[in-house]
Amino acid sequence: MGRRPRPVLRYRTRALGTLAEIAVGDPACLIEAARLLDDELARVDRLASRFREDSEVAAVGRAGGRPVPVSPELFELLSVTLAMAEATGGALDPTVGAALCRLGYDRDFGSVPARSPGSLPPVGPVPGWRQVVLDPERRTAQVAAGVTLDLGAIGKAWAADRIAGLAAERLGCSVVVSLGGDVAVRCRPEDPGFAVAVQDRCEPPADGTTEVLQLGGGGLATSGTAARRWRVGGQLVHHIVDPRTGLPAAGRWRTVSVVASSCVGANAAATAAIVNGDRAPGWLRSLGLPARLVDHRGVVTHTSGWPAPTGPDR
Amino acid sequence: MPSEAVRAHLGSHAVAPERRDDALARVGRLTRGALAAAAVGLAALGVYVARAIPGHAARSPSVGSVSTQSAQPSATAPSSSSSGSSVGQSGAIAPPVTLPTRSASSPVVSSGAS
Repeated sequence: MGRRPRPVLRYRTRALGTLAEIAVGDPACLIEAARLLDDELARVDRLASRFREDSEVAAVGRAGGRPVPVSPELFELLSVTLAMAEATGGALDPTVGAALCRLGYDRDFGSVPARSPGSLPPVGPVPGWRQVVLDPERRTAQVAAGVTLDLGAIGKAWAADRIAGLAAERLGCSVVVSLGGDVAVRCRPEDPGFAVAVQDRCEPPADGTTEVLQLGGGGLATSGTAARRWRVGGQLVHHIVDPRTGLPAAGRWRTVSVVASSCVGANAAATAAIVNGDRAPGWLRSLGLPARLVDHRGVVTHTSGWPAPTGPDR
Repeated sequence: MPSEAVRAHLGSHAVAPERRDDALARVGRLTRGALAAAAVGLAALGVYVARAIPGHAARSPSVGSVSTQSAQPSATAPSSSSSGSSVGQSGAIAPPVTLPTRSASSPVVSSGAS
């Protein structure tokens, strides 16, 4: 009370095939924060892009089942990914890479044709996250021949957490990082947090129906089927694969937003909710995760902990 | 546990199920350890990462844009610690340390499917 509005400086760029932003509570920190964002995004791309032949994760996939020494950062990302796969009961699975390629998402999304001929691939489960073996003593990663890892979504969330943590640690200011709508916040105790819009698409809020939340820490992530869509043989497909079928998730929800103690946790829960469909609200409630779920008709469901709407919700 | 087919794919480098389970258990401990560090402010992880990254050279951002927005402090906004952990001690997805509140401020960033 009595505090005056203060400027929040924001740096925005494009990386990892999406919009990347960092905002800081102290204007003096912005240049260093922007450098850190650029450097770390380049680093994460070299680690985890399945579209780069020279990425570390591509080398793991090419090894034909042999263990491959990896950097501490990729090892950490893979460890976190497997933990999230287990926590979601396998709804989030890093071995969906080959299924995405069969659907045509085998290059940076901007280069995927909006329409391609042919038909959907046959139904079949993906290899499964338990086929990823990590050896912490040798710091190696190993996947069976033919398994293609896709760390895209969880990798962005992990990067958001990592960059926010690094910026807060090094620069000593409050910071919010958004990578394609995966948001990580680290705040100094005296700061009020950051206002974050929640919407179907990761675009600047354009109307009064957008919900705006104040976050003082942790992460907020939104997964949805309304973005990264293309057509295969006339069928509209999207990028969230159901590991049980190897095909785009066909559940009840168009968009799910989740708040958790980290962006990684929020992203994993949001993606799992898209895959789990009708079971998602109960599962999210059981975990105590505030969430906003929007079905294909635009009807919104909230779980406990999500702040009550102050106006008409869709 | 890997299926016979997968183990066959892995050939002579196959990880025995017992060893694999043991490795996973170690990974679990490692992950929990690393993330416990994160829970106390990412301090340990930050130091470790900072050491792993040879000095950030003083180069200017070559792309991107900078903008200014006003952030209205919210009367009910949470003031939390500076940390968040990726997963809880048990490896589960952890709820937020402080719950989000509504804000009447202009949003600084957006969360949407992308």
